Amino acid sequence: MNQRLWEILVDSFPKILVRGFTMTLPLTIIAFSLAMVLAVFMALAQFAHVPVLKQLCRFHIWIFRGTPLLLQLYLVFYGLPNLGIIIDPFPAAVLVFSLNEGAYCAEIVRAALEAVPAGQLEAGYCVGMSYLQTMRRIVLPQAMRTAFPSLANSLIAMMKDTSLASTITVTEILMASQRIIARVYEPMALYMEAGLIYLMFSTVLTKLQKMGERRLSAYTSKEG
Amino acid sequence: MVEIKGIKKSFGGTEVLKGVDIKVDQGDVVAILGPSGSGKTTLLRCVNFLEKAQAGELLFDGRAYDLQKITKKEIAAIRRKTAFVFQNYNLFLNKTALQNVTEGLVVARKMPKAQAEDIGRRALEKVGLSDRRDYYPSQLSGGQQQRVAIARALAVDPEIIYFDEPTSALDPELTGEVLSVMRQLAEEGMTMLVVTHEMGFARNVSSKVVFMEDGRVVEEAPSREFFESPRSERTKEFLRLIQNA
Repeated sequence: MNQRLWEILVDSFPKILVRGFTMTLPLTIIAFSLAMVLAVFMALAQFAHVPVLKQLCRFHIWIFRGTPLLLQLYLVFYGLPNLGIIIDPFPAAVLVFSLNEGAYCAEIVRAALEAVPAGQLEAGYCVGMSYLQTMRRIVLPQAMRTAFPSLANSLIAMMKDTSLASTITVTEILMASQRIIARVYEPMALYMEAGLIYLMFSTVLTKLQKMGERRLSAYTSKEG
Repeated sequence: MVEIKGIKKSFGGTEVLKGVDIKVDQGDVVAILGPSGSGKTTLLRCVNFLEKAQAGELLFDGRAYDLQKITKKEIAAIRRKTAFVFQNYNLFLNKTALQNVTEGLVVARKMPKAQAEDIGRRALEKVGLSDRRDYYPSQLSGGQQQRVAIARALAVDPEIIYFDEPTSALDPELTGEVLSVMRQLAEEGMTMLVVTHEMGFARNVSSKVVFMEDGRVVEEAPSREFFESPRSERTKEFLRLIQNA
């Protein structure tokens, strides 16, 4: 590797990395947190067969799972201004990613709720607890334990998908590297570098997933 | 104490309970016997509202409730005075043994945690599981899980405990430990309504036997009378069959 290329890489690394910390990571964390709230809410509404709400949830999931994420970003950022609604790039990205991710995670949580044995709810009733009390303290915690690996998987996938936000001018990791490429024209090396930074982020998330699973495994382990 | 009158229940087109009456007095241990499919478990589930009966009346604590018109509030009030032990234990899988016992006290009855834990520890001691209080259900044997379930039932100081085939899911060598706990409760005067296949329990522990078949009560008698001088032909046949088994 020649001297010039090496210097470009060393020089650009912190510049791209800082975008990871100031854009990719906040976008991931904020959007995923909102997505989780939405997912749990939508899963519960479907699980409890709440009329109207259940149909609204199905509709939301149908739309957001059935159309491309990139298109959803374009619609919100480039389309809505036609209706007079102008949203800044970062909030637009948060909005789309949380609605989209919420739809996928709602299905994960719903499946996990349905996997909790019906006897758990009955046992709750029989010790005098209400439906909501039993859901909150018994059924939902068990479902979240079951859903955890899949949700963590979705989180990692979403972290990488935030690269799509570059198309609506969010200067995250990919956008930051593209700007440098435009200046120095070394796409191979810089895309590799961007990939390395994504890999670092996802490695940390994978490690966190492992730790989380270990902590949650207390009641499923067979040892005393 | 608890009386059920004319309870009826169908699933789809199949009538599972065809008008059943059962009376349980304070301190009674009533065993419900009968072949599979006779409606025993459904009866118990209707009495604690896990299934909705299509007709019938429940007398509880001196008050009469129409099983069709009973409100959620009334159901909740009755459930706080009863306890249910399931065939497959249904312990809360995400809670330790002690938490399983205290959950109904702290959450449903708003009891302070320290007081609930005190009751919980005593209930676990009673079923001989003091040393397992911090274990999760997955770390306990079937017999131990069922004893925790009985401790959970005891903790709420119920007026009656319903048992739905409490030993049917257990290995033969584990049924003994559960039955001996139940026998101890009976001796202490706990009112119990028990669906069971354990003839030894029905004969030696229960005070009264109700024999059901095909959604109806065939015979109802004090235990000794039931086993020594059954009246109906069907009961005689049933007893003959189980004695030959």
